Amino acid sequence: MKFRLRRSGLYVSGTDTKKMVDCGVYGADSVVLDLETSVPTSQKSFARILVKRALKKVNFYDSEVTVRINPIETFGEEDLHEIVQNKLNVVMIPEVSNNKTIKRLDSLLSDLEDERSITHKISIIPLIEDAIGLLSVEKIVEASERIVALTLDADDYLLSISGSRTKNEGELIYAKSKIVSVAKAYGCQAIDSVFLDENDDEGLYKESLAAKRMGFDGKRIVNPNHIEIVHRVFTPSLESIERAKRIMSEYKKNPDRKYLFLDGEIVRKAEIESAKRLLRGVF
Amino acid sequence: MIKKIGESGDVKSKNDVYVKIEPSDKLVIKVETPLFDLFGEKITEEVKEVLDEFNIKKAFVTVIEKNALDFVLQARVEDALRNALGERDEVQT
Repeated sequence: MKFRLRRSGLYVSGTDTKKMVDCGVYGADSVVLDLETSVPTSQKSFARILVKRALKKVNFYDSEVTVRINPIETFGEEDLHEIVQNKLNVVMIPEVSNNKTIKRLDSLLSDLEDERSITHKISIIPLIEDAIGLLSVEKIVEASERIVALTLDADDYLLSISGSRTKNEGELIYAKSKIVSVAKAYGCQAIDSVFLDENDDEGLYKESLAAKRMGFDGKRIVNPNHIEIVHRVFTPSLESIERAKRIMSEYKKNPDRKYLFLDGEIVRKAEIESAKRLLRGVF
Repeated sequence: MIKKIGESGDVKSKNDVYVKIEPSDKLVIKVETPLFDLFGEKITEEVKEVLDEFNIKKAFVTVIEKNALDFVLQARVEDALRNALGERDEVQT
C-alpha cells in the first residue's frame, strides 16, 4: 500500500471552476473535487464532464487528486466512467454502509483501469455516514486493498443516531475512536470530519488538536487559509521523526526482537510499530 | 452524427461560455469573444479537439465566450455535444 501525507484535504465543488484552478497552489496534501453534496442534481452530468476536463488540464501541483463521487447507486457509476484517468489518485465514496459497495467500486475501478491503461492503482477512501456503516467498518476496510484511509461524516452520522453536535464533540468520541482504531489496525490512515466554519481559526485549531490526540492523521477543510493550521497540528515534530528513525535503525539490526534499548531506555513493541507508521506517513 | 440542437451554458454568465451545436452538412465554428484577435484561433482549436474526440466532422457550432478557462470551454462543448447526439435531453446551465 502506498502511503503519503494526508494532513489536509481541501474540498472544492465540482462546479466551482475558479477554485478548481486555484486549489493546487495552496499546498494542501489532497484536493477533493466534489461531485456529491455541493453539486445540485440538475448539474450532475455537466459537473462530471467539468471535473474530467479539469483533471486533464489543471495543474494540481503536488496535491493528491481525490474526487468525491456520488453513492454508487445514485450517479456514482456514471461519475466513475467520466473521471477515471491517470491524473486521478483517489476516489472518495460517500454513504458507505457495507462491504458490497466497496467490492463493487473496486471491481469498477479495475475494469476502467484496464480499459484505459491507467498506470497506477487508484485508491479508495470510504466515507462512513451512519450507524450501520460504523458498525460495519471492519468489513468495509477488508473489502479492498485500495483503501488508504477512513473518514467520518460527523453530521450525517449524528443524524443517523438522532444525536446533535456540540463544540466539544463528546457525542462523537465513540464513532471517531472506532474509525481511528479500525484504520490503524488495518494499516490505513484516519482522516477527521470536515471543518465547515470558514472564519473560525481557533475552533479549527482546537478540533484538529483533539483529533490528532485521538489518533487522526489529518482533517478535511473547505478554506485554503486553514491548510497551514491543519498542517501545524498534524505534522509530527522533528524530534519525533528523529526518534522514530533512530528506533528503526536499532530495530533493523535485529528485527526479531520485541523490544530494544535506546539511550539506556527500553523501547517496547508498541513504540516500534508507532515509529514504523510514522515513517510511512501514518501517525 | 448530430441529431438535434444541443446547448450548454448561459449567454449571461461571466467567466463561462455558451455553446450551441446544430446539425449541418459541413463543419462551421463561429466564435464570439471579447478578445477575438487574441483568443479566437485558440478557442477554435479547443472546440475542434473535443469534436475530434467524438469523431464529429459536420456541425454548426456557436461559441459565445466570456473569459472562460480552457477546460470550462471544452466541458461546455462536450456537454452541448452530448445533448446534440441525443444522449440526454436536459440543458445544463
